Amino acid sequence: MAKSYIAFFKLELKVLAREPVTLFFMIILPVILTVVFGGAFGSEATKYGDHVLGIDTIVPVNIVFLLANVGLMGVPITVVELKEQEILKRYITYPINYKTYFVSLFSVFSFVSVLSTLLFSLIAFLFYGAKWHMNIWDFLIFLVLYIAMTIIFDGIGSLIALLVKGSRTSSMVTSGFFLSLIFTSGVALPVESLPAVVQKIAYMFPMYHCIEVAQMLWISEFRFTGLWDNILYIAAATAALMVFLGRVKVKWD
Amino acid sequence: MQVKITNLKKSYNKHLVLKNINMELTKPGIYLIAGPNGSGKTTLLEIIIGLRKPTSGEVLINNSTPDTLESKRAIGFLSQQNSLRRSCYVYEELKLVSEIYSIKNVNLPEYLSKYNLDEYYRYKTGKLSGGSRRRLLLAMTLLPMQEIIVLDEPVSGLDPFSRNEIWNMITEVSRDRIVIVSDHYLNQAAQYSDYVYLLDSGNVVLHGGIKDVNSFLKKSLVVKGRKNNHESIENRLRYLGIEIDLKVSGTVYSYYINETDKQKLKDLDIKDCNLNSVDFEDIYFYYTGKYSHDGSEENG
Repeated sequence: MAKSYIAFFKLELKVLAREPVTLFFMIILPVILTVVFGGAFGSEATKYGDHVLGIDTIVPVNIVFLLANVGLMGVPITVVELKEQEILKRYITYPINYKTYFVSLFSVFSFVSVLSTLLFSLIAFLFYGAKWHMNIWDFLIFLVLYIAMTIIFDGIGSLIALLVKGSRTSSMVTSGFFLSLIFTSGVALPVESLPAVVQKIAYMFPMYHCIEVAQMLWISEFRFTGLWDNILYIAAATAALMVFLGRVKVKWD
Repeated sequence: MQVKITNLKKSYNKHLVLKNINMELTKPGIYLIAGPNGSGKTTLLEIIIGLRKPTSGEVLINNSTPDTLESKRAIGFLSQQNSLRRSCYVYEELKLVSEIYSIKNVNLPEYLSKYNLDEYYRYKTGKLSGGSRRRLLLAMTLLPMQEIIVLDEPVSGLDPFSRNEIWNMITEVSRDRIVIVSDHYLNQAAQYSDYVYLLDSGNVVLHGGIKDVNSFLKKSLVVKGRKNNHESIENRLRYLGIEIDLKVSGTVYSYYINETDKQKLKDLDIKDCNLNSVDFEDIYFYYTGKYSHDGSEENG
């Protein structure tokens, strides 16, 4: 199975490298956000103290935005396209484990996401005065969170792609969902400034919880007691999506 | 090598698409699954390769169910659509297949030359013509040399020349393999096939060796006319003492005639109708009351 995984990984990486629009959203857009927000608020002190600048809170938000964008837009667009063109049908008839292709597809998106994260983080450190706050434990938990966020967003994107019929419908569903996340997670507007009802909706979506935990880890302010509900949400969502993804199969009927 | 289908039924939302299909394929050759659009051909083929689950009944590929890795290793599949990655190069698609099936010692450009595709080795698949894409997909399907090959309308949408070209390739590999092919261009498909299963509304209405199926129908001639003059044609045929068997599809009236009445037809005025030998399309029509397609492209 490792051979098939590597074969698909190589092919998907080449295909992704040939898609300028996807690369723009995965690499260029996070850099633009870093430059724009870093230039505007990067050097300002934050409520966490003088040692934590605006740029230190922008980078983790950017990471969550990137992973959500990849999972909710990149993954479903790719899967739906493969499904409609019957390429997925061809792959599934190959003598491989059912999940091999999907795992390699997610691996490619994750690989490029990591490269993109490194790139805009480096820009934040080099040009906008971002500081490394995490200790080794924060960093290890952050890595676990990064994987969990990938599973959550890629999982939701795959479920939409596999369960919703038609590329137009699935693209509308993913875009609508992604926009809802953007406006309720604190990326576009602070959650506290949103109406009470919208705040309640924000708690139902994964992006809000991911940003809360990622930001606190990134600036080394992570305390389990203060974030237990967010951690619980992320852990439950990761577990549920892993189980669901393990069971769901493409329906051709 | 064996494909065994027992009491296979498939329904979608209470609509029965396949009704008790039984087949046992053991000998090498081309097995034509024929029928018009909506007759259940694709559903049957996709159940054989494990993409769809039967509602009831059983499919066994060399004694394994289709969804097992053993079955997948034994079966190669070509879907109806041109399922190529448009941004991939021809060699990348072939390499993927060779890596997945651990195929070594195959010179890919040389292999492609058998399919007249070697010049496109470094082309993007999106730049290939429809016929070349189909040939490439067939080349990819046949590369692992599996003993059972399932081809879902391999010549659909192609011009007559490309269709013949692909049928010749299929014939070549069928000498030592079971090749199951669906098609609705019956006359052309029948020229190349060894066995046939005629499907109509989910039932196998006729099956057997292609020569046997041709001889099942005792009528060897057919007179075809239009609705507006069918009474006149029928009266003339009866006047000549010809025994007729009438089948109607839309405005087309087909009178099937015994070989023994051939002499009597010499006196038939055929200015408003056509007299032909019965071909495979006519046989299908005789048993189902339908044509497998509109016949407009049937000239290969």
